[in-house]
Amino acid sequence: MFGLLTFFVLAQNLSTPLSDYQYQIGQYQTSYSDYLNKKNIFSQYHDLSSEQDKNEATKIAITNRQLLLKSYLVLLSSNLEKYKSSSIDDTTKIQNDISSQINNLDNFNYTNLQVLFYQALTQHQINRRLFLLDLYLKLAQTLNAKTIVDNQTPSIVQSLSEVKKISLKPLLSDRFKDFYPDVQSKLTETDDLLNLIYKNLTQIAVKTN
Amino acid sequence: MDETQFQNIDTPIITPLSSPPKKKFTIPLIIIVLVILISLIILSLLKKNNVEEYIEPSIPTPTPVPTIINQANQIPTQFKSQFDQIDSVKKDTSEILPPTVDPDIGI
Repeated sequence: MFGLLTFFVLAQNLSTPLSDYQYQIGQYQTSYSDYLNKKNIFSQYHDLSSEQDKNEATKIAITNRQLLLKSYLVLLSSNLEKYKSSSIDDTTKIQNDISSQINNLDNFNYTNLQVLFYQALTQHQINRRLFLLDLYLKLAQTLNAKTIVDNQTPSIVQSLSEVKKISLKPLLSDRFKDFYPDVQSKLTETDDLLNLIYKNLTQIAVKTN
Repeated sequence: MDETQFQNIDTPIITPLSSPPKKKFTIPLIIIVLVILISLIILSLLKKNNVEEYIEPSIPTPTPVPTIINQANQIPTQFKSQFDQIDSVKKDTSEILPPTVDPDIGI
């Protein structure tokens, strides 16, 4: 009995936002498939029994959808924590938006939710690159080659601010316009500059050998 | 000299009005010539193809060897930890895209 209790406590501690999210995906997909099935049966027979089944399946699917969206928002917020130090204010703002969405999921607007999803993903990508730039700067200082980073920094910062602007573009209609491909395309340009710094720093480090 | 009885009688062969009899070996001769011609063409084509298919063995040309081979192994130990940290951030490219959900369930 004690062993079983310990197992449950450990299992709860081992659960991560990612594992929760993966579990909720499975739950949602199962219930959504059941909902579609019951809905189809009801549309064929239109009797009381099939209607009750459909209503029950609908409730479960809606509940699981909410849980899935909540688990994804928690996962996004948790991932943002990783490189938050690179851009504290912007990241905190998005994390606050995520928290308010989690508390208000019963009345969610799917378009706004999608915008928030991709804004969070974009911020995470920006933070990771700024974090990398900071690591390059520290390494360059060790190698007495600070100019290699300094020369590229304005272009990288400019490029990342353009990425941020893309994610903050106001919606022109009620429909969500996926801006993430544009974000990824712009991030590739930044990556090219970062890779150039990495290559130069590696060569300098090897030469000191 | 006495004239023989049939000396002036025309033979059918030299009669201008009648056509000369066809020679039986004409058709086989044409066929033989055609066969020879075709076989000559085929032989010349085969010879041409053989010439084209022959590729001279390529001689390897010297290329400059990069001065830095496998840089990761050549990084001095004093910078190794910094490079490891950079590599771990560089490799952290995993992102989980939003799930696809049906926003119209029950509607």
